[in-house]
Amino acid sequence: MNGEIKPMVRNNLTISKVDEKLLVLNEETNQVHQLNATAALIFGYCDGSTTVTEIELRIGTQFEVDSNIVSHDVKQTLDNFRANQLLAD
Amino acid sequence: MRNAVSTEAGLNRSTYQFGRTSFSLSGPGDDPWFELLLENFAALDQADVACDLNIQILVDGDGYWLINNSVPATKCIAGHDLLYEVEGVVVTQAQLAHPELIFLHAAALWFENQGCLLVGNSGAGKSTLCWALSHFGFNYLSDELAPLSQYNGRFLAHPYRHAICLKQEPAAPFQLPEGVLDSGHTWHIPVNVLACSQHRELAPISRIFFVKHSRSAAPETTPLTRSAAAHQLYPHILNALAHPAKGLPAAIGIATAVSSFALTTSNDLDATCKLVRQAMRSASGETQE
Repeated sequence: MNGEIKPMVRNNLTISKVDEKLLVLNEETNQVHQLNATAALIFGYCDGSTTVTEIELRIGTQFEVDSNIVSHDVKQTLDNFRANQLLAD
Repeated sequence: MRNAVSTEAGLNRSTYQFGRTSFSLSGPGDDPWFELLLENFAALDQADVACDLNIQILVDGDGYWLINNSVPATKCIAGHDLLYEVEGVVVTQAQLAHPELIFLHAAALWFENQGCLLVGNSGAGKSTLCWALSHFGFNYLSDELAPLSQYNGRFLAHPYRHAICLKQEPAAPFQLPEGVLDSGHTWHIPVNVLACSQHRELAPISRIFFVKHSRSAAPETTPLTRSAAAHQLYPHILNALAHPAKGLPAAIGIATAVSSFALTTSNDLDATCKLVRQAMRSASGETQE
């Protein structure tokens, strides 16, 4: 995944925070997705102006985890978002 | 008790009331598939003669035409599909008549002044468990469909007392009693042959069990968080789009107000029922028995 891509969440999602989890309803697929705290954080950075590399840096800073692990986890999470049609094309 | 109100020219007409939904069924009184329909709904209250929904069944060779408020269906259907089709029409009418209710694909039962819901995918064993629990002091509210209303922070299940529909015969000691209707594909247990009483009032719900079947494992319950419960519940709301924000707040509201459990059932239905009973009696969710 190109680190300069600026992922952005779709605009037809209904989002609710329940405890530490985020519930995201995709009105296109009519499916609800449950995001854990880390995925919710990454989801929040998908604002269309933050690059994948910047997201990795921010997550790495917050969790103090090896950058390779963070990079892998962020890319995998974004792939999951894309597979579930949570990101704009 | 049959709700027959008239018989004309060989057609039997019965009327039923389900909340604000009134419907009538007309068809050949001597036809076994029409008889199955009547038995299925026999425990519902009788409606006034004038109904909002009038369903007429016509025999056509080996098939049936379903005429819904004078509008014929687009295809002739087989006898074993007749009940499924009619249930679909009735449930759709109920959703139109009660847009404020949350219609869940679930079974509902009443136990020691608490209601519970059995939620799960088709084939997960909700109806079989519902039938088995009727031997453990649980009274019957509904199978397949649980309409919920909200009152003062609580969710109330509305009774829909039609026959319990099983896709396979239950194992001992829950063999089917006399009076069960065999469609060749499914078994229908009329309310009047259930081992328990019917609960006829609105029932505050205190527990939701998300049912998943496992052939080998021992039955197990695991408390669910609110978010996990809402996540699992949402796909089972039949009329989610009729509610604000596409029904997501409704799912969260139910998950917040009611304690939820993942229930892994096993072939040992007796042990599964005891586990559910224990969970109903447990305030904390600890379910060892």
